[in-house]
Amino acid sequence: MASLHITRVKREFREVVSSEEAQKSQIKIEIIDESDLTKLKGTVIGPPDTPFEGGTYILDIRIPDTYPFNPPKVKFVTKIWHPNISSVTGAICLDILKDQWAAAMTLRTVLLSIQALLQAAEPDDPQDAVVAKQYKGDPELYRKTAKHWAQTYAGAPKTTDDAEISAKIDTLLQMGITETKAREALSTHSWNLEAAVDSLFT
Amino acid sequence: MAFDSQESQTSSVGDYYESEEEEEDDYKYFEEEDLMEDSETFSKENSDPEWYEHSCMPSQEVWSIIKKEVCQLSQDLQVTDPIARLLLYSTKWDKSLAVSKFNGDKNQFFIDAHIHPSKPKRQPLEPCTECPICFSSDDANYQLYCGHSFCCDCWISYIISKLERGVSLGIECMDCDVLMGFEVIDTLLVKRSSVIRRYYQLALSQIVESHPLLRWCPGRDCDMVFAVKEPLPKRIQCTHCNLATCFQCGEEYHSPTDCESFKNWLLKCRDDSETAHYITSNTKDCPKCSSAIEKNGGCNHIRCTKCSFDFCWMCLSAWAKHNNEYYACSRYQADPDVMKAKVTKAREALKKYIFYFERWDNHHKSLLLEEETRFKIQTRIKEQVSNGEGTWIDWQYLLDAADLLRKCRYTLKYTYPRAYWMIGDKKHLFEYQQAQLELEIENLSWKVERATITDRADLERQMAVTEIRRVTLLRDFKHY
Ligand SMILES: [Zn+2]
Ligand SMILES: [Zn+2]
Ligand SMILES: [Zn+2]
Ligand SMILES: [Zn+2]
Ligand SMILES: [Zn+2]
Ligand SMILES: [Zn+2]
Ligand SMILES: [Zn+2]
Repeated sequence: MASLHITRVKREFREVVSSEEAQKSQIKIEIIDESDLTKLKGTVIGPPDTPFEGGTYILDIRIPDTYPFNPPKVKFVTKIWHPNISSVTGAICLDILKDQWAAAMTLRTVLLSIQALLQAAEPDDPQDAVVAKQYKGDPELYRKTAKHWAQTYAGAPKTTDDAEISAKIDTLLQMGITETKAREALSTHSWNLEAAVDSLFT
Repeated sequence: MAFDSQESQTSSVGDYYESEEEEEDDYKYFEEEDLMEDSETFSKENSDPEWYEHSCMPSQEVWSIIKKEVCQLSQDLQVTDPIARLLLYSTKWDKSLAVSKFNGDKNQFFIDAHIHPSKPKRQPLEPCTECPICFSSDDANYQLYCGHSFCCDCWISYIISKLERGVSLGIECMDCDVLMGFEVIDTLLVKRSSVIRRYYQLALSQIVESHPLLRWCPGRDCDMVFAVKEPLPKRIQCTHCNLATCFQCGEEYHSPTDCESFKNWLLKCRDDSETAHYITSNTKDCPKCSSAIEKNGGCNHIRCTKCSFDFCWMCLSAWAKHNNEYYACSRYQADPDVMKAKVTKAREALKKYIFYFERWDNHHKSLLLEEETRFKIQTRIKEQVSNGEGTWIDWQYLLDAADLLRKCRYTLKYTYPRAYWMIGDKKHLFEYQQAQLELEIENLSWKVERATITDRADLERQMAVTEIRRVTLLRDFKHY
């Protein structure tokens, strides 16, 4: 008999594939290697009326051998600007992936909860302090930044003109900074070019 | 049930509070010397400020204390033992709190105690025989009080995964926050004796750690637990490893210093760089955080290793002020009083600490030497007895003297942290009594070292006087 965590993954994989949400291509789960079912690739589509709308977010899912008694380890592979997700590592701060996990939950529950997190952030329990501060202090700037990241990294449709943003990034590129670093520095410093330069060169 | 099997090994709770034989010994000094004629009329606590009702037991005996507390509550509230145990667990073994919460919003109390689920069940589970975790229908399902039902194998794997993470009493249902009581654990783990043992082992440590009237003996590999009737910063002494501990904070027994001051004192002592730097002449104190800084090389731009403050070695002001005009600092030197006052203050603080530390450390070392003295006395008595010069009983007073000396020296050592943090008139009085105690202890020490040639009556008089000084100081300067 196969061990419990593998039996569960097989069953849950079928559950996600046949789910209503998968039919509407809102969530997806893929097996990377048939011989190793402990590593999976998840996909969540950015929900409507959010800065992430239309973006495709890839998740790295690891199943511990104590699954489902312990939660799966999930992180974002696609870069994202969100208070509960690290803009650097992709680590997610979500209660059900920690102490609120219950063995009766499934990968489908996890993917839907992550999608719900994109819909409603919880800035009081932040993973990324900088993003959380911006979210609370300057929501308009937060939306703008998050949207820019969604268009850049998650392939969200371009709906706004980012000429100003592009110009600032270009300035940093000419100073020899990589594009990722430039975007991170500018986002962190509220798109203030001077402050971003200071942070990069001190 | 595991709980019952524990009980058979233990005696009744009443036995724990036995009389303190060691304490009794101390009284004879008063009685013999007539120095306190009315000592017998004093209650134990009045005559001995260190007296503290406590018991020391092998940890397994804690189960019968817990069982008794659970039984009392279950009778008072007319609930089952498992319910009473969960209620006590939620109030950290505070029975009166449990009773008042029970008589208040009982439903909320049951939710807080994780007896009732905090959220209603997400969906009614279909009446199927298949386990929702492993999808197998081979095994019989076990249903918890909340209605959630899984197969026994899954429950067991789940419990094991929790135990591996150090959770025992706090194990909840796999699908809601209802706690699994002992009777559930016992039923599910009936065939897994090693897992059940691990569960109760973890549960026991958690109970002792959360119970306000219990404390583990901090002795290395010691399995004893202390039980008191009232939590106080007083001495508990292990009957197994002999360690003397403060019940309140769990540190070494530190009367007449209070727990907070003693903790601060230990922190100060651990940071002994302060002491070392004092010896080196090339040190100054950081003007910002007062830690001692050693100057290496000729550069006068100093950065504090502790707080990273950049300052000038010569005038002790912020380095930023001299960024462009280095010699501007002579301006500050022109006002030497300001600088001197700054330096002196920090220096004085350090000197004060060194003063108390040296005495604390000296009495600590003497205490270790007193240990040797006792051993020497023992050897000497053995020789005397084998030479036919008296019996062990005849020489017992010498060992009593050595024991008393250690006890007094111990108290004296712990007066220094107290004195260090004291201020004002109280401090003068304290240090006066401390000096008197110190004097008598040195007299006693002198006589004990020469015990075999000292007159017995003289030695016993010295013992009585020293102990009176010690007890007086402890009584006059209660630390709680
Ligand atoms: Zn099962
Ligand atoms: Zn439940
Ligand atoms: Zn001990
Ligand atoms: Zn203490
Ligand atoms: Zn310099
Ligand atoms: Zn400093
Ligand atoms: Zn200077």
